[in-house]
Amino acid sequence: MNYFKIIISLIVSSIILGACQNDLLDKYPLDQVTSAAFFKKSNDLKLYTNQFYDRGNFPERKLTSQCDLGYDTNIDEKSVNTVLQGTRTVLSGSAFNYTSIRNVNYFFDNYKKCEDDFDDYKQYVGEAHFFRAFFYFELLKKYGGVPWITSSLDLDSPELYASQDPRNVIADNIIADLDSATMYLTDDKTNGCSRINKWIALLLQSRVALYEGTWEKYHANDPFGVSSPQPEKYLTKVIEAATAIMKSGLYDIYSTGNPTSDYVDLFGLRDYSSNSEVMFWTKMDLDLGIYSHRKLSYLETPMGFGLTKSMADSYLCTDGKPITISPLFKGYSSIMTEMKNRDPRFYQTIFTPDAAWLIDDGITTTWDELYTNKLFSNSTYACPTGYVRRKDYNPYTKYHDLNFESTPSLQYRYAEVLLNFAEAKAELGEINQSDIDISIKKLRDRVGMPNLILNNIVPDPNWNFPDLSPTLNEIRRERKIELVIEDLRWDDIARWAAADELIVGKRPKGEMASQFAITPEYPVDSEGFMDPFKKVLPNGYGFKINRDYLSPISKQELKINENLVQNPGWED
Amino acid sequence: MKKNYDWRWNAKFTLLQKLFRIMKITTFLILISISCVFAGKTYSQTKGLNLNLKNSTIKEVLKNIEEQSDFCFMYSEKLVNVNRKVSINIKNKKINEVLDNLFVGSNVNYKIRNRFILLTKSGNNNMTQQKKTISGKVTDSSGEPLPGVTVVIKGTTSGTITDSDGNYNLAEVPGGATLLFSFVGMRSQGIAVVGKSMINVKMQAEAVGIEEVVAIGYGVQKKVNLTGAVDVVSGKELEARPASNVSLLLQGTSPNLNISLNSMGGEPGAAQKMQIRGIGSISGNSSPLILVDGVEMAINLIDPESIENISVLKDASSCAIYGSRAAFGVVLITTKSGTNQPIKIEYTNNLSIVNPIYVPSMESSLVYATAFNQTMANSNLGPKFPQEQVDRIAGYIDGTYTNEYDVNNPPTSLWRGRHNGNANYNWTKEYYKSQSFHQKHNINISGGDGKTQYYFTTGLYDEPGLYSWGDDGYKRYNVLANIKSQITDWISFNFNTKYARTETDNPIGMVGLSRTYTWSQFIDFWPTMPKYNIDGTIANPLIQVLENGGRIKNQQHDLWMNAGIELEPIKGWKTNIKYNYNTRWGSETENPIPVPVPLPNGKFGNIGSSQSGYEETLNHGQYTLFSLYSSFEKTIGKHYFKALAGYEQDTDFNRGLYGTKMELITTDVPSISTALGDYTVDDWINHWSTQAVFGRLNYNFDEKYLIEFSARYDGSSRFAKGSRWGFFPSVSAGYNIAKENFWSSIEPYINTLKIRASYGSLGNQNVSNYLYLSRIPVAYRRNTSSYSNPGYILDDEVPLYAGTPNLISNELTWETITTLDFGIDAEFINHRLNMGFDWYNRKTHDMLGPSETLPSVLGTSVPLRNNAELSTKGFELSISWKDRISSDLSYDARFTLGDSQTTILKYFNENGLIDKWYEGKKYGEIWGLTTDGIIQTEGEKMSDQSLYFATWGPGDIKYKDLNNDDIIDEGSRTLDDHGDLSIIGNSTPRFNFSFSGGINWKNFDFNMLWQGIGKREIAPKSSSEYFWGLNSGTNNSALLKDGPALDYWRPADETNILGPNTDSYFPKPYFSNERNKNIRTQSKYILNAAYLRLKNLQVGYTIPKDILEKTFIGHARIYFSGENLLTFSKLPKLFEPETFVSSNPSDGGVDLGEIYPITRMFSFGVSLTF
Repeated sequence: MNYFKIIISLIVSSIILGACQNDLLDKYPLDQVTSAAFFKKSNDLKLYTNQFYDRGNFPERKLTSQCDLGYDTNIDEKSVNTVLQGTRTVLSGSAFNYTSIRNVNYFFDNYKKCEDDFDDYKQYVGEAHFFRAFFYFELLKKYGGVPWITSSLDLDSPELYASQDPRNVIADNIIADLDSATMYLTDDKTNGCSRINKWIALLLQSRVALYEGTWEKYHANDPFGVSSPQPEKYLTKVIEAATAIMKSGLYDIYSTGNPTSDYVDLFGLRDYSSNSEVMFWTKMDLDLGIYSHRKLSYLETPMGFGLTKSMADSYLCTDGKPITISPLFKGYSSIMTEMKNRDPRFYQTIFTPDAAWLIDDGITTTWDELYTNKLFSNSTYACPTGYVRRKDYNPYTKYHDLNFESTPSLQYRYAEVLLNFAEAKAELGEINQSDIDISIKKLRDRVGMPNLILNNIVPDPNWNFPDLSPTLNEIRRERKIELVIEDLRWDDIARWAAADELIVGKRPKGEMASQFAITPEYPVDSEGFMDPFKKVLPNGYGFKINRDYLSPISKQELKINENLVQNPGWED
Repeated sequence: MKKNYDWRWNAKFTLLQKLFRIMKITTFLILISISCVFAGKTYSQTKGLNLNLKNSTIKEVLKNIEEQSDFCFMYSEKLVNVNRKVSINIKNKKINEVLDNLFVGSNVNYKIRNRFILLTKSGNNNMTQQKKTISGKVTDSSGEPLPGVTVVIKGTTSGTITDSDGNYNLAEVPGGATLLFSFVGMRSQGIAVVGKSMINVKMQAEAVGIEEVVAIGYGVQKKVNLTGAVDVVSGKELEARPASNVSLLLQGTSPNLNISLNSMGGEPGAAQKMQIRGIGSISGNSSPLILVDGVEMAINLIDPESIENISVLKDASSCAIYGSRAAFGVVLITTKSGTNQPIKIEYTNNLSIVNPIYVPSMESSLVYATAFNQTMANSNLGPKFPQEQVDRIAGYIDGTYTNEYDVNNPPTSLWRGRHNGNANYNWTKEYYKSQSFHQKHNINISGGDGKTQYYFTTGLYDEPGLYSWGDDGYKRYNVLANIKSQITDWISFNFNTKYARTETDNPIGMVGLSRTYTWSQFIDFWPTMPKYNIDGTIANPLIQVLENGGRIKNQQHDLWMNAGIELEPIKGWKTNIKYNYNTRWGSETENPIPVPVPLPNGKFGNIGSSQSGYEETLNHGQYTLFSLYSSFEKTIGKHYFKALAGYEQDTDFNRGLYGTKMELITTDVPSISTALGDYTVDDWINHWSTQAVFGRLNYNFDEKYLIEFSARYDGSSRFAKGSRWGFFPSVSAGYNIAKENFWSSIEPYINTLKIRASYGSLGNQNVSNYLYLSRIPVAYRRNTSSYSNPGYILDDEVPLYAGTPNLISNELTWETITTLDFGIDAEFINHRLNMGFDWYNRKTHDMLGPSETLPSVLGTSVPLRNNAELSTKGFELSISWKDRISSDLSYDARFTLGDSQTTILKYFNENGLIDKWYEGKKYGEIWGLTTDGIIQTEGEKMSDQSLYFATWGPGDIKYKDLNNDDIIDEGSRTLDDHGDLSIIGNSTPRFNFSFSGGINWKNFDFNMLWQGIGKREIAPKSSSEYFWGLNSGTNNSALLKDGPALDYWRPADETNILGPNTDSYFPKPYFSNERNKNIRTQSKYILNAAYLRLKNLQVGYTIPKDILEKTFIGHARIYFSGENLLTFSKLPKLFEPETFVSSNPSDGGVDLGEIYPITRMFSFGVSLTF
């Protein structure tokens, strides 16, 4: 009996054990593909490059971001820019962010596996080149030279311990990437909210080349320069790139023939699909759940932000002369007086009491309501300079929402191409009136300002750059005015090495404090202009011109990679 | 085997004693004794038995008696004819009478010894000495007479029972006999009668645990024979407590079984973190393996009422049999099963009133305005609240200004209300109710007929939350059935099924943000925030979104079906075949809806979702565990052997489907079908398996010298082919010194003494699936409703996109954990004092962790590597005392203390960066500056602190120059060069302790449990709003009462309402980056987070039997119980010590203190048995 039981037990056990699978432990992913299986079709390449269109790379432009905030044209009462203040420390220095560069390099490591025709996927190869240039340009602006890496690295790659490549090598590589991009990208104009095209790549190329060209020129004698600067090479490239776009005939300055509103309207439009000027923009669509976050709603009130007197003073009078000279300038007693006879972009950028503030069901409330009853009444209506921003605003309250707006954001526009072109020409010293006529004049025509006549420039005693030619001073003024709050101002200051003229020891000022119904609780200067940072910056900005143009590299990074060199002025 | 039987039962009676002990060790008896030990508390030799059996065999009758009592019969079928058929019908008879009745006229003798009844053939007793009469008195340790004590002549059935005065008189006692005195709850005593005619006995309360049997991996073990570190928590300790789940109930029950809140704090349904012996791995996951009836299960899905007992296996040797999943200990939960007794129905409930243990209060609006304006001024900025608004606030407080905001200049949105309003609400307190009502109900039915035992239970737990607006809550339903049946005398079958359903229902809260973000807003919206618009509508946006913004509903189901067969073809050889199947499924749905709200300026605005929509996530998992194991045990003389070998494999398969669609036709019917807009679908599927063979070998000599080997060979699908398998052996040994002959003189004082040692290694496979494969995450669509990472449109659609794979490490393999453990168990003073102590050193080798930092041009995180090593050392101590003063009064007390400290032994950090791991770093170490006070006068002598800021003045912090170079710096933050930084604290919780005590007096019982952490330091983050109060800006600052927020530096000539405060806790506050100079991690702001808490206090009353006799209720107890009643802590009252720590962002919290409050509970319950 016992034997029977034992045998039964053994048989049962062994049957069950025998049934166990041998391959039980081979468990492969069921909802992800391994990289070996990817990049085979052009659609894989498209999916992969889609990641770079993330809003992290193309952020919204709104009250609190992407609007030159904290620099010399637009300030926040609550915080002083630490770069301008000169108070950054190496403690806050960061390691390089190469995440995006690795992501795009991974594409280059793999895209050749694609089995489709090159023509089917060359667009994505072009995009990859574009984005690599885009990401490296961010690093170039922040750190100058960085290690140039073109493949996704492994844990034991020797390139991990590479030293920085000189900045001009980085710039050359970026420009080369953009050359490749223009070769592969579509030359279709597109609706501007789809894939990158050739012309956007060229715009970026003109921007990079202008950046490097002017940087090498103006930093030639400071620690940030390169050993053998070649500004001409880059400036020529700017002209090449810009000319290609201008000659394509696809883009033009947006104008409806209404100089008093075309400029501000451009930034308040709801759709740029067929806009002649806007080359790339971020579309929002509530039906798709994609929205901008209370963009116009925030722009209704100043909320502690304000444009500066330096900005306001830049606008010429309608006679084409600066306020220091022109008899048309009526003084600062009130904003209405101040705006009188000025470049119409003044009141299309800064709110004036006669402009529409809120249009609700056809009922228009003007900014006068704000000027007389609300400005400075509380933190919502606080404006440290009195100059409240109007650019990017649209008064129709139906578009305003506490949270969800479908308000789009501009990313690239043609006006910059014209400005890059003119500036490069001027820097090369080869600019002539016909160059002005195809660039600056177009911008001035839109707002009804007289053209810039090269042989008839009225000297402005307040020129920011008295050592430079009148042409360059006026072109830089035009750029400041046209591109204000478009997040390009700091790049301009840095590449022009202009902190000594514009920043060091200076403080942002505002309007005459006496003109307001509610007295602003800000200090004023000896002439009665608002001086919001008087107490914070008793000696003005402490920007250190031998240090603050570039960011420090963190100590830890230097320690891990001893081949890296700390940026000038940040060494111990 | 046959032979064994023969010699055993043909032996003379003198052999019986010996036989008895040998038999006890057999598995048969172990199993019997489990049921004896745990069967309940009604054991009594005087218990009335009821039998009504017709034409049954003696065997069946005996079984029946076993079922309804705790008696176990032992007999040999060769000697006692148990197949004789009888009919018996008796009611409420004592065991002696029953047996006399049963065996009248037969040649069967019975001997009652404790719970064991030995049946023998009469006539075997050849003791023929002369006989005499013995009398005496039996008392308890306090001298009180004990009635009802059984006095038996050892080896016979003759005996008597003491009378009401404790006296007895026994005739015909052979001269060489020994009298056995036994009484329930008392230690039996044997006294030789030699030469005596009067024997007075003082009986001692019996300490439990002597013959206690403990559940261990794949079996049970007598506690006295344990060689590993195993602790037992009986189900009784968890009974009748209002706490919501098993993990909360386990807090404080076993030393170094550490249970802490997770970042959801006291939210209904929140889980807790569990750890045995502290940190095991820097990769984070060092939770113990939780096995319920042998299968891994989520602990909080168990109904506490259905737990029979819990074993906590702490060292490598006791866990080794579980191999790769048990690296950091095992919690073995055994659920209740039926016993052989007539049907028993039990009902228990628990009704509690709960209130939040602490909810902060806000300072008044005027204090806010004053402090904010002062801080703005410190930063050279204009006032946050203009004078006009301060006037309104003051007017509102004194009643002269009745509006909550300036109606001529109303806030432009609800979010602006706090900036522009002038109300004065104690908002933090308004969001939570002061009380809520929880209830628990459980009903169970159990019984057995000798062949089949069953236990069914069903339970309900209902925990509504505390939100004042947007009700929240949690519910749990449990069903469990355990059935065991003896198919033939060598095959038994068991089937066990468990089902749990949990439901949570919460408001979504703020749109596009995690649900917990709302908690941070509870303190971010200042008292100035109006409650009402002038038209009477609600002006607080949080109320609006909580009430109207839609719900998150989660429902999870967990179903287990476990079937097993046990074969025992020959005595001692058992084979178990088990198949466990688990299916779990659930859903989480969200229906975000727009919340159009009236604004103060009379307009409408939406603060909810941009559109109505519906989002559903379905999850389904299946798990199968198959195990086959076989054990054989044999005793030869004093040698005992047991061998176990087994095979196990399990597979888990998980999948989910996610879908969302916008634009509901009507918000009343939220579903995918009733939505018209854009939709997204996504899914996930993953699976893993393990396979293992394992074995264990036990040997002991006379229960004196004990040794055990165990090992497991484990394979996991989570690793690449070459590194998939690991072998994990362990050995342990014990020495029961008290069993040595020489001990007999010490025995009365030290009753048992055992020393133990164990060493073994275990694997840890707790890593993500597929880590060794390079994968491209494809077809992932951005979550369009996220604020922090919103979606984007490309070619008029929200594009799918592929990501970049992470770097992988192909040499990824097991972490190996070795533990060395030494332990001592001892009992003193007649088993009343019980002590256990374990010291351990647990090393984690080949630890998976964040690898060495590589240059950032790598562009991605460095993959995990098996490159590190750590050691956790500590100890556990438990001391308990149990005594019975009289039959009416007994008490017990237990103190436990556990500790663990983790040190990094190996880590690649060649530069010795202090912010990374380095060799010798203690886990939890806090590096910082040493505070040298607050600067009081301009130009005061101080070191150069310009590293942090250019200018320093009165009110700012002065740091200590530790390296005497007159410059405060941090060097390169390396071990060799760390400037003035030093280790200023450690956040590891140390010295977890508990104290429990109970008293039983007549029908009353009283129990309490205290639990605490002896040492722990916390360095609040520089951004902690709760701690600093005045944070980096007004929008993230809050001034809460009972905390240090207002104790910031104000000059001696300060004239504002807060007045001067030069001897302050905090430095001068700034709302600018200048603040950073004062809030470096530093010694002054290290908080002592140790605490002591009265977890539970319980008073119960068992209704006397004579009252119940008239009813159909067999047993009834009512009780009052309180949870979290008292807390002692050095922290300011604002910082509730448990939630404060668990809300730390480094532990996944929103921010220190910003968490759902835990509750104090007062409950009432009844337990009825029918």
